[in-house]
Amino acid sequence: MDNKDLKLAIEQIEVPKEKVLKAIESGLNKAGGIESSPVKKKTMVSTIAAAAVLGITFSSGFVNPTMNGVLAKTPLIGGIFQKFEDSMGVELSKQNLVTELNQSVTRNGLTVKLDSAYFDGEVVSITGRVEGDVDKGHNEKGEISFDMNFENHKGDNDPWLNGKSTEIRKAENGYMFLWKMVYPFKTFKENFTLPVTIHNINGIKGEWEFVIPVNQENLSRLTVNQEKSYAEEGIKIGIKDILVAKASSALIYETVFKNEDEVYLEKAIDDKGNVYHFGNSTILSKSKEDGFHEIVRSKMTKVHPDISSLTFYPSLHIADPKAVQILDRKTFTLNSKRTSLSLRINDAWVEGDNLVLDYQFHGFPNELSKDKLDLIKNNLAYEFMLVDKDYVDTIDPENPVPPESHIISRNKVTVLNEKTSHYQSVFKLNGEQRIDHFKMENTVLQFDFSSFIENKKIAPFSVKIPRQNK
Amino acid sequence: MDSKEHQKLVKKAAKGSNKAFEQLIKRHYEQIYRTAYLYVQNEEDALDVVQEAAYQAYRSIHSLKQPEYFMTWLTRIVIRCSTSVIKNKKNVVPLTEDILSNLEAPAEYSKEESVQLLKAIGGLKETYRTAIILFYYYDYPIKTISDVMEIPEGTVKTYLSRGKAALKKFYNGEEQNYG
Repeated sequence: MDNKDLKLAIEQIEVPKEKVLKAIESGLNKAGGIESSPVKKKTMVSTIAAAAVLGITFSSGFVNPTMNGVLAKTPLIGGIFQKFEDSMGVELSKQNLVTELNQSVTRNGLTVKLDSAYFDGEVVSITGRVEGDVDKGHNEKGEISFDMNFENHKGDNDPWLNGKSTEIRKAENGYMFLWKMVYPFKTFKENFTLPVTIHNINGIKGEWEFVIPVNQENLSRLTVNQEKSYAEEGIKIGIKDILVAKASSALIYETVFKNEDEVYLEKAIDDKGNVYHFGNSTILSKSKEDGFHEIVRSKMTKVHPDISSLTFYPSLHIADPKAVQILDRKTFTLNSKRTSLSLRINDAWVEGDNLVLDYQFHGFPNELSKDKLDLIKNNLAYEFMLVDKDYVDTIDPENPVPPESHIISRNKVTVLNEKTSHYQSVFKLNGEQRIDHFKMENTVLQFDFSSFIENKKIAPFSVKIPRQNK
Repeated sequence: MDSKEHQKLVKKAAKGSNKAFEQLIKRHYEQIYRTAYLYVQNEEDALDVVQEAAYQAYRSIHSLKQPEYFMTWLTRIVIRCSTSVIKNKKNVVPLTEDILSNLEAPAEYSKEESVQLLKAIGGLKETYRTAIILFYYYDYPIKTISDVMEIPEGTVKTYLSRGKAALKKFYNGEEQNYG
């Protein structure tokens, strides 16, 4: 037996790919459900829900002989979408709404060919192939990564990259890929050209440059303009328009908050009982007068014709500002501003290269499930932050990478007594994260209660839907 | 994988990008599943572990402050979920014919040998098993294993050598039986 044997043996464990990917999706779905969640979850939950729905639509296509018959008749391009399990592409290619491309660029032994493009609702998709010795790049075999930009954007600062996904399939001389982008602009153009530049593929340098024609016909708009106020929660949700495309729809809605909370539309059900899920969101406008206003466009399942109403199921994530205390004392209480949760710090001391906190969590229901207790313990390891007091203001909440040598964001949690929610956290002062010249009295302890607050389901509301033009 | 692109994805995921997180975790699906399988030793439980790990990872990704630690952080979650499944079940299902029939051996490598090795890994003490998996399957350096397991580097080395010794013993013993 040598080391290689072990690895080889492990790699022979057969992986049921579809089931594993489905398990991942269910895990993500579950996270978007009743439990509390990270702050920016809005887009995430709904996309995953939508992905799951697409998955179901797709797989049923294969047991349904009629659908298979239809697929058999679709042109080559439809077959590509079938390989990617992209039901939207399959549907559009049946309606001849996919633009066939025939563009090819070769650089450094790699040829990129673009085959097709479609634009439906707010989804823009491009398929193509990479041919050549792509596996000589520094990725693992079977993986492709594109470093790319659209239009003249650079790096991360490219609105087309927000929510872009890439699917890869092995092909004869390389790989096939399908990119899906969320149309990032407020107003729709029916026809436009989209410049695409691939800078490198698996680290192999390019540049591969293309200009893609993108077309969408007859995107229709249903004007709804109805709103619902929740006095107790201090929020208002206004459903403005629904854009109906050929294979998908998009919902435009406005939220108004007193606080910086977030609302998620979990699903909608029409008067015929059809269920709709929401996908990627684009924030169309944001303002702050008389509360926080946000207008969002969200991908949704295609709206059925002839429906007369839609009932939305929203849930609310409460934003709780970070609780803060300078460590110039050993005993104090950190309070959540908007819930009854609090942390009583019983003691704080330095022991060798460690800072130790002894504390109790207050405000949870009496009976907590094992699962919940595990999650609390897990989250406690991430939600404390020790910050050099001179650097507190330099942390950009949008960019979670902390200033080096002035912050410690991880700790090791020990449960002292589960029944009394009594815990101990140990922060390594000289680990990979550190605070130079550490002194307790110069250090701020921050605690974020947000991930301990459960999402609150709020009452569903219905709006009337105008009749669609045929 | 392009580590720069990987880090970009992690940063985006930590900032709340849904797609980035889904892409990230799906990129590692084989490793996640196999790791889970090594602990729980059957498909059903391994899939449960994958689901739970995805769930927990998603819930705490926003607090991952250093993108370069994504993989070790995720691995820790997978191991924690695996061991909690084992603990909840208590009766661990041993490697059976089920895995035997699932194995697809490459020509140069015998199926029998792989099964013996996996069986042996399954029979190891949990701490040895984790060290062995991280060292041989993940190719992690001792330092990283010590971070993931939250034990000193010296202890990692001890676990590795004891684990390897136990594997050899088991493996050789079995080999004789199969003579």
